[in-house]
Amino acid sequence: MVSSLGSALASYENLILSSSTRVSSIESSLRSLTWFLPGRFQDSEVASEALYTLLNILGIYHDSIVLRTVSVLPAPLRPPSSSHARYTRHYTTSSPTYAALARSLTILGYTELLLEMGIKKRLGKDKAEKAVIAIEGLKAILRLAIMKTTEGRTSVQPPIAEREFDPSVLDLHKPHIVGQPPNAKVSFARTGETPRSAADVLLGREGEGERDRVAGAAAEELGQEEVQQEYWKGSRTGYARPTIASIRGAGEAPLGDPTAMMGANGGKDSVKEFLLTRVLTVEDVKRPQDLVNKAKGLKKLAEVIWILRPLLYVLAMRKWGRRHTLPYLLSLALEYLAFSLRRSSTQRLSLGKASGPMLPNSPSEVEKAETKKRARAFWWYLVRGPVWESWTKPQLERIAGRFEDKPLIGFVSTLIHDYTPLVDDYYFYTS
Amino acid sequence: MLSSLASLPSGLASFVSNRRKTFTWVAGTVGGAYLLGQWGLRRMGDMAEKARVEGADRDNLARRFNLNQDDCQFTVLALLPTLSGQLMDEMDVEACSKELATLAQKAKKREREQREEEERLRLEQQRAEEEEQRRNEEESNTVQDDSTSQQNPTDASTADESTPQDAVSASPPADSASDPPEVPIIPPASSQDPPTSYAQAAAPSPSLLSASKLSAEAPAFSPSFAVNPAPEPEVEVEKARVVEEITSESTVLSRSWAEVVAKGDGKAEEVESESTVAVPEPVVEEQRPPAEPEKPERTRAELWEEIKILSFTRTLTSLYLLTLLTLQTHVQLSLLGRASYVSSVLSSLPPTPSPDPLTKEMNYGEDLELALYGEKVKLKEGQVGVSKETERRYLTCSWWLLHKGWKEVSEKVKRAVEEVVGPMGLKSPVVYGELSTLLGQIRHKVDYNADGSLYDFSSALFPPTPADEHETLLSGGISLTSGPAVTPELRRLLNETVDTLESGDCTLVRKLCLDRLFSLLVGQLETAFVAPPGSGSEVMGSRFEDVSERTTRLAGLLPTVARLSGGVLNGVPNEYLVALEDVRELTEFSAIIYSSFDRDNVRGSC
Repeated sequence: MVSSLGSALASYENLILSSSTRVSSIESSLRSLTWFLPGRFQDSEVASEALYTLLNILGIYHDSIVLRTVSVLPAPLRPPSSSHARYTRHYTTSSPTYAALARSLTILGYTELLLEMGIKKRLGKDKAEKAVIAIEGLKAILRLAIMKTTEGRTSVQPPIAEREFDPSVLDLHKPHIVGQPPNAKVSFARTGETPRSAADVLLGREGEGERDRVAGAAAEELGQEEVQQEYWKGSRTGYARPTIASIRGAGEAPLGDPTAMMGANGGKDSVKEFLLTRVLTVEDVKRPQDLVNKAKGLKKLAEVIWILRPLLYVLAMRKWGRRHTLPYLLSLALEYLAFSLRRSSTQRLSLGKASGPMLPNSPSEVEKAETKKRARAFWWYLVRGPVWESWTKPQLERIAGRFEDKPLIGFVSTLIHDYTPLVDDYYFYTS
Repeated sequence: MLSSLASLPSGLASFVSNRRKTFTWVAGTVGGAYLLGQWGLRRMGDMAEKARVEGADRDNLARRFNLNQDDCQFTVLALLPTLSGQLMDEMDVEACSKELATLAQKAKKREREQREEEERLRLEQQRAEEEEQRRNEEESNTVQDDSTSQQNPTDASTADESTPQDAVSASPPADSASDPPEVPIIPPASSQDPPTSYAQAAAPSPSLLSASKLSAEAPAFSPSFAVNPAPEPEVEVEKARVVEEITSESTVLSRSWAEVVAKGDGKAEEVESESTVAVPEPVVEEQRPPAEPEKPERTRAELWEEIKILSFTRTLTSLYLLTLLTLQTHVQLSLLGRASYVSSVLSSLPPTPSPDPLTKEMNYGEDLELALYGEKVKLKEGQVGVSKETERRYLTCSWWLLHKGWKEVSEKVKRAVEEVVGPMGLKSPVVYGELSTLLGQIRHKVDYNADGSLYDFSSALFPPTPADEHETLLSGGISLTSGPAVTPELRRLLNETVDTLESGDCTLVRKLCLDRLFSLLVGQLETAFVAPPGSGSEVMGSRFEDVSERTTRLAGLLPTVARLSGGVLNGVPNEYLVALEDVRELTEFSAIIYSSFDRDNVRGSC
């Protein structure tokens, strides 16, 4: 039973990898479908939300498969990863605790709305509010635990690496990926596949006999004529390096073309362009754990406030009522306090005369992005509490009324009509 | 008054309340515009800063890479003399040619002696009576007959195909008057300019050489042809002919031959030959055992064979060595440059809060000075890249190629040359259009093993065994008193270097570099070719002379071939090294190696 499940899982992973482009396009079209589902039929919002949640969780799973596969690709083929991905991947791989916490936090984030809906439908409003408090409490605990695991680093959103590259990367390097047991680490040394580079072809080298023929057969199986390797691998060190052919842009002279000399036709440019892609920034050479500084003093306080803010908000709402001004103001004040403390503690140094990456504690790209994200979160206050009731909702309804009769943009008004009751009813739509 | 005072606020209030909408609108617009402006300004500032940093980062890499490429060139230039010195010593074409030239000189001296004797005889004849004069005249006639018979081989070998109007056969006797320039012109063997030694040894002046293309090859090799009419490899045939020749020669000539025979060394020969002038003839007669005359002839044939093989081998080896050295240097310096680039970027990192007691106590974020100090401390601790000592040892490893490895290459090239050029007669014609095919054959034999697989140059590039590595480092001036010769760090670097040099791309780059060098060589060899004699008169004035139709004899090619090896290794400026810059793939390959750090693990990958 277990083994059959395992093999099913394995074949599923293989399917994901082999048709990654198709899978991702299906995912995205289903996701956009969920936007139009609410209001179509009875309880359609629950169906839509369930589908959305399912898609997201499947997405996490797919991402983990894809990431695992990509990370064992030889270095030259690996798509570059962002600072955020490097930071989160470092912790997910180095600390199982972090991985578990971050995964639960992400999954909780995806399911919270579905849970609220389900409980409200089944058990009533009161239970739903309690559930919301419980969820927010749980999230706060998870965030604090993550902060603890990361030795006081401020949290980043999302806590796990996002999918950053086009899954078609996988299709490009399909020959390296398909046919490997996906659960095991994909190892090129083990398959004994010898890269047949353009250089080999040019040199008319007969390949390394048997092994090349095997690779060739694999290529034929995949319906590709000539798999021109984009890298070669050192036999002693195992380092993989891109081939000269692979750094040439499309439409450039083929290798070994004597007319393609340096100078006039921009031979040097391909070198220059290639080097540009390899420029290392300060961010790149930072150790992944250094990408987010450890919070101390005020910054730590700001972080704690930021983590506890949603919990306090729901507790205050429970006490004073959902549309009461007090919880709204409390939440806004707390969030602004946390934000300004965070910004001042990171910007104090970089605003001075001697700014620049030389200084310690200057915020990294990850932190800057996180600060921006938190700044954007203030827009949510337009759809929360009394502001939503007294200003945003009437405005939106006015807009919807104006667009109602227009032929093409009429769907905007239907969307607004469909979603306003949801925002009214559920906390997590606007959390 | 009071009422007006009281009415002012109420008036103002009503004024404000009346135009509340306007005020709101104005305030909203102005405030919004201000906020928008602020946001835009901040945004632009951020972008400018980002662009500046990005530009600086890019410049850093591009500048370092270009410097690295220049360094490679300089390093190769600096190492080449070491190689060329050994190559010149090992394959001393000049010594061979000098030996030949001495022999040729001998022949001339012999003629001179003969002339002098003639003169003397003539003077005697003038003094003598009529009857005696007649008798003497008969004698001189026989001598002259002999001299022509001696020059006949020259005509047979050089003139019959190219030009019967033989300036060559005429020139040596004419030279006898202006003899002195010849001896001092012959440069010492260590000279790195073989062509002049060749040309000057035989022809009066190089300008004469270039002036008359027709005789370009003939004067250069007339000494040999004068003596050795048949440069066929079959020594037996030659011997027979030589013996025949010698027996037909006059006694005067054979006597001077004997002198040559007796001496092996060129210099001693020279001295000896001068002394023989004074030596009474009977002694010379005694020195001439019947077997001996064959020996110099053999030596000449061998000399010619040797020159043929050596000049090709030396020049082609130079090309190979230049390519290999360039590749090796590029890989070495690129790997080191990679490490220094990464560490340069790392050095711009802010110090991380470390459990260092110095930095722990204070919140050094507040203190710029302390922060910078902390960074220095950290740099010393976490040195990324290659240590100075490893770097020195690593670079020392090129000693192997410069002192040992090149011999393997030259052996391989020599074997190939022997296989391809060896069977060719010195007189066999070479058409310019076919020259690259000929060189291509040699290259193929060098590049590939007998079984068709690519030849592996790695044992020539780096010491293959630990003992060799030890020797290399020791000879390279590294004191190996403490610790192992090859540290793990060095081993890693060497492994990566060898991996890189063995990669398909590197083979490709090597091929392209060689292509470039060989085509340059072929281009420079063009001067050695002359228009085919048949069409010579017609084509001479024509502008559309087909270069590929030009031909020369193999022997005529040799001086140019030998001369060019000097150009490859010692040329200033070194055209060949400059030509390698044109090989785009070399730069691209270097760029790949230079930037081959792993982004996900920058510290570990270099």
